[in-house]
Amino acid sequence: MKETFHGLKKAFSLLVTCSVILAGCSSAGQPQTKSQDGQGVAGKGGTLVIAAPMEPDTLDTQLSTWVDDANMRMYDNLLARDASGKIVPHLAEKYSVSEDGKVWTFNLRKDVKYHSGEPMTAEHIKKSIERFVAISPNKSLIGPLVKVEAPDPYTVKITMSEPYAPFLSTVSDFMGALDPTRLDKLGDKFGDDPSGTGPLIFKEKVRGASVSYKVNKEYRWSPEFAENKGEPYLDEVMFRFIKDDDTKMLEFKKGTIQVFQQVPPHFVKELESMPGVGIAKNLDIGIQYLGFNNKNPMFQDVRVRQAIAMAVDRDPIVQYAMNGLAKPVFGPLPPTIPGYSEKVENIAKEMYARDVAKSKQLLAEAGWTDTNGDGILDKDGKPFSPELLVAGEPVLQQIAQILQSQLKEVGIDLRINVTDLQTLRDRATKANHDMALLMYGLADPDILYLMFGKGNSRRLHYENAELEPLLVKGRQTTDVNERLQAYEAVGEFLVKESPWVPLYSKEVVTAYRDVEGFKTSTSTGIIFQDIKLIKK
Amino acid sequence: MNGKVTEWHVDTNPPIQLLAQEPKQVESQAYWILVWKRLSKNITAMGGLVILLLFIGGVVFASYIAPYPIDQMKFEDRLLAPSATHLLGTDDFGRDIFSRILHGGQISLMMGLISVTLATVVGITLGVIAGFYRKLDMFIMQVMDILMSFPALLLAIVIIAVLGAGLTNAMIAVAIAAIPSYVRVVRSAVLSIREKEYIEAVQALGIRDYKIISRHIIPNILSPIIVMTTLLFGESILSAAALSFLGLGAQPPAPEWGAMVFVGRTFLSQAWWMSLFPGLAIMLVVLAFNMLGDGLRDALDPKQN
Repeated sequence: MKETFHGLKKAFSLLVTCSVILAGCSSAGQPQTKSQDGQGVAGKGGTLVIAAPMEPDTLDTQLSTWVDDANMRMYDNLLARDASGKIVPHLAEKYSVSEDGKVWTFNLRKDVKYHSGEPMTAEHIKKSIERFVAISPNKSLIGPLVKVEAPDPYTVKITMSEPYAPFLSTVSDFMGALDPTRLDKLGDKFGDDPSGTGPLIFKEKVRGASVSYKVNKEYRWSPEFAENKGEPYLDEVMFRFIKDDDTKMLEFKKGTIQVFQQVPPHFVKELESMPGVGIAKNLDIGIQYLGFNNKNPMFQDVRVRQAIAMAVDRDPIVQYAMNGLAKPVFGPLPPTIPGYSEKVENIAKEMYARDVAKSKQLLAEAGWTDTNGDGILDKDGKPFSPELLVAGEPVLQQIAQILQSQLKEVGIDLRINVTDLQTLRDRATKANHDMALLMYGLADPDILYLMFGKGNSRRLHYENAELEPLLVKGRQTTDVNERLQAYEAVGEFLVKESPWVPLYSKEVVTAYRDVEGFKTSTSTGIIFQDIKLIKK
Repeated sequence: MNGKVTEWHVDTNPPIQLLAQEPKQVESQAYWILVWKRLSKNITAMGGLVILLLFIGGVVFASYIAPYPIDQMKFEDRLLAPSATHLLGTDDFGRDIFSRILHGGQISLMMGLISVTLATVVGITLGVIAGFYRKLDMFIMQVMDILMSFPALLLAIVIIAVLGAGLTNAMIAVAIAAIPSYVRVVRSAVLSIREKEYIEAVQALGIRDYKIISRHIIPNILSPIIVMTTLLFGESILSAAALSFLGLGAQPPAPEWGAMVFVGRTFLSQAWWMSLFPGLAIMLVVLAFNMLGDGLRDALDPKQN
């Protein structure tokens, strides 16, 4: 259930622009640890088995649109973000930006080595960045890059043609150091036998089943939030890609899997009551939304879009479909993304609190009335019966049905069409649809530019000459407060225009057992360095 | 006349007066009475018939029998276990499962009916053409062989991938997947009959092909077709449910049985009744059709008795 940007979420969530302070990110809380059942001893060695939500298309993160623990932990990035979302040094000890906001300088650590033993230098970072710009499907995220230089072995200088605030998240995330020798040898096939400087060393990939890694025992350059500064405890880490949730659950109960990532909401209660199982909950860095095809004549009238937003009640969606494991979101950004403004959220909450009468009135003003008495609004003899595209996930199908019953109350006959993700994406991109249930995720408010900016609106097809300068200002302002203000203006505009209906931000739930020192968050990923397996 | 009528269908020497209209009516009526007599002695078949009639009755009068509306969500009633108020429990939206099964039966049985009708019409047409016009036989049968080399469900999924998901397309897909077996049966039945002397006789009399087919061939291959249809009915309902289970057939919130089983699967550990009862409904209907089909085959088999 991932939109393109959602795939990048984990990756981006690692870093945010230096200029942005994460408001409210403390809600992306600390994992709740339950006491282990006391049997067995935590110690060195062993293989940690993780049930990952999806198999990455490739282990070459520069070529992939899906980046998560399963394929990115062979690499380190220039900077990292701790569990609260704060920027911390990683491969770069420090960084600075020039007065005009165009030149970024990173000073690298000197003790970093590749899995092969070769020391890392600035030249390699330059090479990695240049490769990203040349081949990545996400290269547009890098901004107006002019050149990358390595004036000495431990300094990287990056020049932009104009200030680009989201640069740090983008470049730092994808600009880990890729093993230069391996790159020369394999080129585009780097993903077949990848290598970097990260905590995991590639061992074996079984298509459709798993990816295995050895733990990098030489790893001493983990970000400051890792407690263990010495040798990692684990020997190996294995990611398994089990398609069926029930199977994952059974294996987890049996103990053949120690970590269950992205637990479906309906399993959480059961897992919470199991002794010896720990649960980590983190609010997602993104939202699920009901998207209009704004090119469709049906949704040209802002009153129609507002009326639909007013007809939606998020409470049953969060409470029943998501089992309470989500937070309703009314404005364009969730609290986990910098740029979130309480003021905008409150305006949106007030404007779009459920109001069936007002919704009907707005629809009537827009010309939609029930002339034939069948309970469905019509206009020019045509019933208001939009089609909603939904991917096959059971939770989303439930949400679609809740929306259907809510919209029926204002006289809109929502037709649900459950389809595969590929068809959904394809139709949404070609604007060959009415509405779709989609999701986005990115740890930077520039996501709004990627969704509504000129030439970028590939899902919602909403571009606006008034909105464009606001979005551009947001991405060019490097001053923290000014940037926040810019996004407040963007937020207010989007709330008024209602090109989509934001629904909720979900809690990402990870269940774990037979481990000690397990920590994970949407911004750090699993911290392998600190994990000890409990052997029984 | 009664004693001879059974022979009529297999008799190698049909009476020439058969071409005359009147006695034929009497004979076929009597024939069906005999079939019914035989069938009614078959307990299994009658059991199947009773189950089916119960289901059909319940489904047809669903709007009168069903105690609750099917689409109204009542969250305070969600996931209630079977009880006196909710006979078969409630689902994740607090909707009554008994009511939904009754209404869902309209979709499931209709899917069966329409896809079987479609398959029957096309299957008989192609089968008769293949059997009667030998020149086209090879072409048609080779196409059918290709179709048959796919598992029926897989073929249906492929067809849906082309046509798109939805009830109508699911029916078409199930029908297309069922056609080849039809064609085979019909063709072989036609083949055995077209060589009979009475067909030769009517051909010699210069009767037109379409008349020979409609008057003399089709009535004589009716028995295998009836058996085939009943068995296929069950199979089609099953495939349609399977497609809905995979999310390719009925779209939510339609209470199609297969789709209900699929939704219930998510709640299996909390609410077993969500999957069990619709699954049971599918099973019973399919079983009933198969029982009836077997009984019909016995009853229609002239070699019996």
